[in-house]
Amino acid sequence: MGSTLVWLQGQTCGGNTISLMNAHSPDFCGFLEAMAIEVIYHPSLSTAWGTELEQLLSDLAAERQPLDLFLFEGAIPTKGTGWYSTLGGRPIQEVVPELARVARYVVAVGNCAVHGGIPAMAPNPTGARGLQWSLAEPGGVLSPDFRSRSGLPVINLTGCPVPPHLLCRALQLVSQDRLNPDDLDQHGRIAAFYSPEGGCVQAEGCVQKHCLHCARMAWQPSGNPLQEELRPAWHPVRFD
Amino acid sequence: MAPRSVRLGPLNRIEGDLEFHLVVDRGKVRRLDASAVMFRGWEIILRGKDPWLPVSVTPRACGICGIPHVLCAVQAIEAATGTQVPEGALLLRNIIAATEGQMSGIRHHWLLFGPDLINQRYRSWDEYPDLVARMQPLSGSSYRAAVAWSKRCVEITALFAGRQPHPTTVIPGGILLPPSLEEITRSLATLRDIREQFIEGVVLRGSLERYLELRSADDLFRWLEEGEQRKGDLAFFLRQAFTFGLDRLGRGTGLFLSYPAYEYPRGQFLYPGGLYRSVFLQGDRAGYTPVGDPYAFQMKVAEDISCARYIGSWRRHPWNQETIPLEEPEAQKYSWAKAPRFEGEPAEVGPLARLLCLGDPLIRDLEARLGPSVMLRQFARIHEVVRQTVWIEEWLKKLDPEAQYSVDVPRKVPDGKYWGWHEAHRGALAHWVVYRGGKVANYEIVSPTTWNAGPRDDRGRVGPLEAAVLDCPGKDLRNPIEILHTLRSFDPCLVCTVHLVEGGRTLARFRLDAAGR
Repeated sequence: MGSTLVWLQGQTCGGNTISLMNAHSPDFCGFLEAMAIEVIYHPSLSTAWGTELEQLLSDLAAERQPLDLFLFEGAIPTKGTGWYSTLGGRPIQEVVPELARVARYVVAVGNCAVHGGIPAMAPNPTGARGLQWSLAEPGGVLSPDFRSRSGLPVINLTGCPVPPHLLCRALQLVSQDRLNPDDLDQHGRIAAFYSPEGGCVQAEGCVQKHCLHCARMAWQPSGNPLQEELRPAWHPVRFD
Repeated sequence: MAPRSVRLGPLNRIEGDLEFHLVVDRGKVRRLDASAVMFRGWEIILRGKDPWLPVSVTPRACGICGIPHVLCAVQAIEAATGTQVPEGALLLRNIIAATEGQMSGIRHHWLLFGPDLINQRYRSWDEYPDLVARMQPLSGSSYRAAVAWSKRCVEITALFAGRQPHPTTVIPGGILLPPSLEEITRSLATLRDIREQFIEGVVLRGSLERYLELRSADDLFRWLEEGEQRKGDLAFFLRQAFTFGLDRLGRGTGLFLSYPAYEYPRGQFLYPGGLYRSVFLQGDRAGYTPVGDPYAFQMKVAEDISCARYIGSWRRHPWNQETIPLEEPEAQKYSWAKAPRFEGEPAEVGPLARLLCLGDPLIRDLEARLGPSVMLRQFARIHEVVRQTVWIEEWLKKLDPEAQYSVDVPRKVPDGKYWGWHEAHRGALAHWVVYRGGKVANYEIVSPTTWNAGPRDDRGRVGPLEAAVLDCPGKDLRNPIEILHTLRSFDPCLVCTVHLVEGGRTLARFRLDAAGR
């Protein structure tokens, strides 16, 4: 039995999509085939557009078509009407809850979707928020109590961007219904991704130069003068 | 029949957000508002911050071209501190920029532009079934090859930049870590595979050396008929383009702009930058104008906000700007993008622009004979992907693991006004910075898509994309494939969200599925 997937974007650089396209062995086409995931819509992959797309979104929101995996990339502006990011003329902050409400799983792909990311850096001119967090504060466009149809909160894949192998692993887990609430930490992240068993070798003295796999590292490797000094300026959020 | 107002969208396969509002009259597009509908506020976020912060933040402007942004960011700091990076760092910066750009070109033609080539409009073409087998999203043979091989390009990027997207090893002063012999060897091997399996195996279906001998349109037309080459994706694309008139579609304004890029050795730039006026379109004004003095050249850049969603209505150089977004819509201000102008004129940027300025003989001859078009933009993109293979190999072979790759740079940045520039895959990119009191006082980014897809200015002059779409037929608005090709030929870094409405009445649903049925 396959899963249906819809991926939408807000205030984004698209880096998580590029990261997915960088998946290796299998590449992302092979991965989706192997997992029997049908991409109903992705802005970079799909041919659906115009009224066909709007009809699709309306059908999904009204549950005329099932939505298993709702993935969101980018921050969501909430200042004023939120007109800093729109889809078909509608602020994205209105579109997101309509799909989140009916999806089996909701996944925030990358830091911006998790907690607002760079658009949310002071002074946050557009009122950017994440799906279920606003920087270090619980609650985003969706409330802290939000649970998707599976009973899970938003599954937060941190990273800037999220590395491809973690994104694929997360998609595998949800498409096969193998994720339980216990698997998530207090920030809605898949806890195993950040443990030594999950592949993180930071404690062993990782120099973070070649590793494409680091979900902890949002910016610069150790030894880079930018990292330690600018971390507070970069972001107040450290989930670990 | 009276002119009709049409909104087009939601569109896709563009990176970012754009909306089209057209006026169609007597079967042609007479007016286009291209509205960028997403805003983050980089300039506001960076104001008052540590001058080194843009090095890590500005790559996040774009996930597919983070290297060009980081290069502009470090160049500004290096200019301000009088830093000269070692030549080894110039080589590494070129390698990471070109490999990332090559990935971008491949993904654009095959993943973003390509699916339109199997639109139902082309169903009657006798080569259509083969085309679908190659270009079908997610499953076509060429689509899959483009996914697999574009990923290999950024394996090289990631070896030296730390990762892709968003580099970690580019710092003011050079590159943080020197290349090892193993990394150099691996990169050369990966590049060879890309060349043999993708460039020669899929794109050209022939030898790279033979292709690089082509100097004129006639050379190209002869080459297209040679043996196996007919079966390559490039030949396929050109046959389709000539059969269906893509070589006469979406001409644009014919003024091209590019910046100096890919410096090596010091003081010499592979792409010299400058201006190029189309021989085909601009007659006796045609030809190339070099950059000359770089300071004087960049002083000719200004942005106009008459139709942009910011307070005020001015035309200013980036150093003198203040970016204050509107809180509510104002009718004539239809885009979050500003309208860049070079000496008061809109200018097109991208692979075609920089290859024309470089003096690539094949591209110049094609431009003079056939004029700018959707076909020529995409051909230039693919042509650059092919040529980059040679350039990257040359730079890799010059790397010396024992050389120096970075110098110390003072942490404090002196006051003043500086800039950094580069040719991202999509075209001319620059960051303009004002430093004051040890902080960023002003930071303005003018990206290639702003040049191409920016709105009208105070004189009502249209930008390159708006001009190119004005050329398009507007009869079949249920399947406006000419408009879609033209839009995507600019490879806008904007996810286009557009709604197809005709004069207030929503048109009946139509399908545009992958097989074009």
